[in-house]
Amino acid sequence: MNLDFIGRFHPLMVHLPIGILALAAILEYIYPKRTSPAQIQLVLLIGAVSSVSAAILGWFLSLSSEYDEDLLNKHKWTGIILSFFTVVLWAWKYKGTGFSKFKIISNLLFGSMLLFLVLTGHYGGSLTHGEDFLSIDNLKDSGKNASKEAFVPATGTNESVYEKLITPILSEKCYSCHNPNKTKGNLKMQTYAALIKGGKTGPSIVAGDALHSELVKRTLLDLDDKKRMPPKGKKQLTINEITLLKWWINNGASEKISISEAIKNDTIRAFLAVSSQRSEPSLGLPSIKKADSLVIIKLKEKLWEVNSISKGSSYLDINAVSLSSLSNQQLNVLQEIDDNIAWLNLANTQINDEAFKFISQCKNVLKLNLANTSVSNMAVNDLKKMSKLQYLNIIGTRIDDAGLMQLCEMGFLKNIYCWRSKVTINGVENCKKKYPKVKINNGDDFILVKK
Amino acid sequence: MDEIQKIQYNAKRRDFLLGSAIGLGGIALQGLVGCKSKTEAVKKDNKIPEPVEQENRPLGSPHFMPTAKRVIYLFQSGGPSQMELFDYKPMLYRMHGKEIPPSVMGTNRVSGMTSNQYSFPLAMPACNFSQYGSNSTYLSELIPHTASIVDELCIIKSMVTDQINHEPAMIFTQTGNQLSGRPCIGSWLSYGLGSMNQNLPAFIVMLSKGGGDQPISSAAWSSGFLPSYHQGVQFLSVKDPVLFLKTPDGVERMDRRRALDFIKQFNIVQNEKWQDPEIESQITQAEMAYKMQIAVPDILDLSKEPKHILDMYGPDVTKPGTFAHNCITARRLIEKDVRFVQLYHLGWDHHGSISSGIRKATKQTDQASAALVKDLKQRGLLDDTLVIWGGEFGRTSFSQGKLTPEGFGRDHHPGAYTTWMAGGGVKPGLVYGQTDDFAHNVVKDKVHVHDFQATLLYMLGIDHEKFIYKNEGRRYRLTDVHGQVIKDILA
Repeated sequence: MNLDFIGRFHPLMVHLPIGILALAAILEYIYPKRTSPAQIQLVLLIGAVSSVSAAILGWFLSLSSEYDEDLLNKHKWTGIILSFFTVVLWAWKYKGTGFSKFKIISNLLFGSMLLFLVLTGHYGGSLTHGEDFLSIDNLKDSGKNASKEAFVPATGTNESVYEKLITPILSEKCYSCHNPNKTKGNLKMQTYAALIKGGKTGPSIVAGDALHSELVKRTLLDLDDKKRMPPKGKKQLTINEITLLKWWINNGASEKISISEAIKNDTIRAFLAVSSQRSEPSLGLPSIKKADSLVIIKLKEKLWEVNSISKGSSYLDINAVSLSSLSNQQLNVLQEIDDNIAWLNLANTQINDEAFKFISQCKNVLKLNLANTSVSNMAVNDLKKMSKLQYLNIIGTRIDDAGLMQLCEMGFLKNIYCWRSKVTINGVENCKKKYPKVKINNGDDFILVKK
Repeated sequence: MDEIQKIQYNAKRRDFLLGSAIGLGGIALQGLVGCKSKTEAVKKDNKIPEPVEQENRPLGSPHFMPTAKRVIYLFQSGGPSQMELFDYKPMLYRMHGKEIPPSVMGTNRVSGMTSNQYSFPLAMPACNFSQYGSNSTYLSELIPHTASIVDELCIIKSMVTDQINHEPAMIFTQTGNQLSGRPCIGSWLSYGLGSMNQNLPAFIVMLSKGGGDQPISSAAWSSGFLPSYHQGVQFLSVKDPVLFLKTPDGVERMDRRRALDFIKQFNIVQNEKWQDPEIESQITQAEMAYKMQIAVPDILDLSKEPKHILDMYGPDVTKPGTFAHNCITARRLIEKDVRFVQLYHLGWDHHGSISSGIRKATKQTDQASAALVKDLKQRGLLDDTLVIWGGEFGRTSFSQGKLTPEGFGRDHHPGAYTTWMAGGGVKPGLVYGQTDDFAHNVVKDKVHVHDFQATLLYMLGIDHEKFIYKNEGRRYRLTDVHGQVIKDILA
């Protein structure tokens, strides 16, 4: 008979010595008066026999080499020492009933036996359930991951499919048996290299052919098939998750392929829509203190339009639409809430370059509208301090090609509208060449393209 | 929040009954139990109305970050034909004159105008199609200007409605219910989010003339059970779109102010006495009218618009009341941060001779609709302004009445129609949904009117399931108990 198979009775056997040896200690120290030495001897004998057999079975099981060597060695040796102590303890009790003077030796033996019992049990547990099984943090995490399907972020379409979509699925449904500590079928999945390398059956992925890749094939086998993964009784992959895995493998199983590529496929897009159900648009700014409501009332009295970006958000949409005569000095009222401003509209007002000494202090502004103001290149240096700016409207201003080029250098800027400013077509072309990521709209975007 | 949004709690009949029932019940209970202290009973009475007070409060700010702050809805009333505009079906050219297959026709309801027809011959589009834009999207030759902005558009070919006749279908699209009486989209937004410009209403309506004879009822821009100052403020299709804007000769603006203040005092006294929400509406409206006297003439004055901008919108732009004129006015209102501008254009109801009818309708609307999108884009406003173009239903792929060489018409068809959106956080350059080879049934990604409305609210940062108003003992939403946000069309 296969030793490996006999070894599988190890998990059954290990629980006997734990209970029996604990019982011996209870009888010895808690009920010494009700227990005769013969009874203790008997219990210790059974304990010794069961721990020795558990150790032997354990040794057989370890031959399958599915486990982390380091941890396995710890478990193996503490287990062997434990068996040794149980046998010695039984022998001492059997032979040494007369030497009641040497109670101390009996106590020492009992103590060592219990210590190794705990150690062996702990290492064994770590082997089966993972080293972080006994930790409060882990408990919190597992509550979070209790969702049916791995959570997928809706944003960041340039991010890698492997990292953002595949890893969460594997982490939730596969890692518990295929990690460096517990390596069923000799397959580790936690790194891309290990996943590609595969396990006992060979590589887990055949790039370009999902149905011949073990990673997909096994999820489709009959639930009772012994090769089915995840095995019966474990949390299964959903149809959507399998579809995503298939798509990923069929498209080369590359580590780098991006989500924007994936969503060109209808089914994958549908999958992402399901998974990103909960994510609503947000500003992506850190949470800060709310603006003083007295300041907001003061602003409204001065005819500023002040609105929260959303319920509960500390960020504000500040608009001077009712204030066409707004001048630089009147911006002072914004000073007390400068960090709270996310969207700022100063279009069609009388502000000029001087105002940017203050405006540039509003460091969280994402959208800034300066349309039809007398802003010129002089303001650009200050504008560049507003590092989070994504949208900038400078239509009808005096900013020219040089100013535009400087603005394009800003890290987060995505959209610049510069129609009817001093910017020329050539200037826009140059910027587009140098900074292809910035969308520059100069009002000439629409040409009838007939095919 | 905004002054307009500060709605004081006003006692209504139901609240009175509720309050008194619980009050009387409390007294009865006290008698029964016999040992309740007086203060306890009073406390209980005071506590009860609180949940009522919590209800029917405007949102103030959206539930989450909006991608669209303002909306322009270019409503094309009458039912624009999807086959002649957006939904290219080569099969219709091939099967011209043949009967529509029963499997396609199904058991769909047809209108009373075609239900007595014994034959339903397919009719090929009265125009040709070409491919446009970077995605080679098929569009009709009748809408060349719209074709030039196709890369900005999200074209939904799979719209579906429940209604087959104009009035109910139109009211359904605007209010989420086929019967008039519910608040329309603009009123919901005016109520929920309020105005972004203290000098202008949050919701403005404009009808264009010269389209068709199909009437349009003001129920479509009614505030329903919401306070009545949230109804759409209509700009008329005449030279003076807002009547009596000018203070009469001999009356100073200060005099007008004093008169208004005096009237307001009376109204406040009345309001304290009667607690009628309509009195408060009257006060708010009078104040708004006073502010509009200053703000509106400036907006309606096109004299400072440069010629090349006017030319974009087409030759009709200077004629008050035309669709083009309304489009450029809409842009000027959006520049002033009016939240919801609703345009209606009539003249899409082509039961007969669709070929000439649709040419007339597209000529009136195509250039200005496209110009509006381009103009918003170059001003950097398209980012957070949602433009919607669409009608209340589509048209049949078979001919209404006999198919003659001279021409044919198409009947109403609720089972599939096309609507486009641009800006405000929709995916540009997307064609969403698919119909069968006859543009008769939706085969992929159906978008029901409720879904469309849920998605619209989503773009404005509103969770349609949490945007509720309680009226006559029942809680209402724009989407009532339906609606799924179509996230696939969002950028």
